[in-house]
Amino acid sequence: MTAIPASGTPARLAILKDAPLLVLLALAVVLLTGLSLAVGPAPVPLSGLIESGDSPAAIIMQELRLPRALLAIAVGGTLGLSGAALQGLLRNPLAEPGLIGASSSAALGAVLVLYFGLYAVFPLALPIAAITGALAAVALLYLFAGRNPGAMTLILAGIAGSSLAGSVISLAINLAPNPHSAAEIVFWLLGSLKDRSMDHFYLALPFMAAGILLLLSSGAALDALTLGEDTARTLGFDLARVRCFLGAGTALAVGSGVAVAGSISFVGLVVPHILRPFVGYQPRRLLPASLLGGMILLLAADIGVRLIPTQLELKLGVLTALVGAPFFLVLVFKTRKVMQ
Amino acid sequence: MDRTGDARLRVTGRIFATLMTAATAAASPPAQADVSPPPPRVMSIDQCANQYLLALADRDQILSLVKGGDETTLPFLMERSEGIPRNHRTVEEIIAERPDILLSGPWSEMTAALAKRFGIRIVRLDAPRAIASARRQITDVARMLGHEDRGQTIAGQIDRQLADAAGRPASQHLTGVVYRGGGYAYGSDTLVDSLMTTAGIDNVIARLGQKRAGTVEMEALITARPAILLDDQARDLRSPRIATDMLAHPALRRALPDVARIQFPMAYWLCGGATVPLAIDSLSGLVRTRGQAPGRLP
Repeated sequence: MTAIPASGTPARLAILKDAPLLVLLALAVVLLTGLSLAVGPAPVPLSGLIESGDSPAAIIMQELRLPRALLAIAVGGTLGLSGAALQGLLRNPLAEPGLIGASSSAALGAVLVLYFGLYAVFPLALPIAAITGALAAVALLYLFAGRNPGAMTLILAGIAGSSLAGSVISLAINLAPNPHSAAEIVFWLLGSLKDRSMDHFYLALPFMAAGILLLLSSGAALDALTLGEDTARTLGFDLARVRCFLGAGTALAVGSGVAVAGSISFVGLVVPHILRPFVGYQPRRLLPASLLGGMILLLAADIGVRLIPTQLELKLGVLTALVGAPFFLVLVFKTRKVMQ
Repeated sequence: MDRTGDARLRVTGRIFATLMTAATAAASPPAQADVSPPPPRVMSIDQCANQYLLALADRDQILSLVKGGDETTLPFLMERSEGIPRNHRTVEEIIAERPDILLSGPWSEMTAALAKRFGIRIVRLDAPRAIASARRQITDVARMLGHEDRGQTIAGQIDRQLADAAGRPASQHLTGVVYRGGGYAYGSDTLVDSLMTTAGIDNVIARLGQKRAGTVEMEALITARPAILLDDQARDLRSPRIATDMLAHPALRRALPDVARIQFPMAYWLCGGATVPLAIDSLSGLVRTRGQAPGRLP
């Protein structure tokens, strides 16, 4: 694959052009990471992070708040990035890991591993099953919607995939031997970063890193795709390979995220949309910005669930859905002409 | 014509049967002219109500128990359920069995409401939220079943345990928490809290200000530093469990290295009833062992 920039801006120049935006986003990530570390029920100083010994402050910082912040960065970043990549690949503003069924299929894979107790024996089974689930959803989408899906076909294929995964998850809940197991599955599905450990982070990190690399490397091809498949092909892009890279990248990113955090939806939809005007509507330039944007959104949401006073724990996935679903509605309203 | 004839025949049959029963009862020794009504025939459509019947009713009073809930029933009660028919919580079964009393619970309201329309007497048992209400429920149900003495025996046991608890100095109390997969814990205004307090365990979750049951943040737990960590999911080692690695979380291991982790069957506090004195006994036993050897697992 020869990386010929499709829409005129050479890669290096694009980065330079976006440098202020990317620096700004990165600063926000740093700021929110600090805030995420500082927020919690126990009053703990940030110095606990570098403290040696087993004081409560050190333990809470190192074993609870650090993995929580790192996971918000990793999961949010990959979700934002895969949303941007999917929208570029399918040339459709409504594409998102959740909407195309990748998240629920990943959740199905994870639920099955947890349900049959495989996780206790072999922890790696969790991300592997979730990634396999997400991969199946992406494959199903191609099978159903073809290479150049219209908005309607895309949404319908997504609904079909989600329903299929949802029905099997329902079956697992239905056949749970007692209400407590059923409740555990339901609550897990709502998505949360509460009380995760560094083990979770290390478990997901390699898969996420691989996914991020695959997605970021496809930027030039996404730019070429905006000119149509034929043009992209004449520009020297192997489209089958591009699809393969992006499908695998999305599955790796979404699957590993779901495996450690449960279902967190709409990040991949909201973030690229907000950032698109700032990067000149260019898919390639949108990728790094969405990576940072996803981190910001999920860090903020995860701080939000801790600050919003509720008697029972507010789940992270519930909050992102509460924010994302109205956003989606507005988006459908705006693009309804395309849908018809 | 035919139908009336049939009905009359059935009524005659029933009267005859009743007379026969009365006759046998009268003829049976010792002829004490016992005029007290026969104990009511009962049916349960609630898994907790099952336990009350097994603990307090005569076996031949029980028409049927609802299916399920075996994992959360202690073995001594399970043994007694052998051979008793199980129902599936359907109104059809209720009408067919025509119990004098139908015991229902919070999860079977719709069924109970429909059965009531057919003239069945419904008694709803709710999970008690404190030992006092559990004790009252035990004596009430026992009286209703015609076995007041059985209820009094259990209530007497509880009273003795409460007196013991009142005499125990606060210095002997230990701090503890019921913490299970997913970070779920019991706060104040729960039977668990009441049982723990009576057994000499100060519930740190209640102290954190949480009411009823819900999830707590692990960092709050770490700051509270309980001496005992009770996991009440001993029931489902074979069942699917999610997020149970929480109990193996490195933060818990580091922050509470010598906390006593104790697996405990949920059956002790799920329904109240006859399990209440057993739960208090077993928990206070724990406090005694633990109190003698601080810092070590019992």
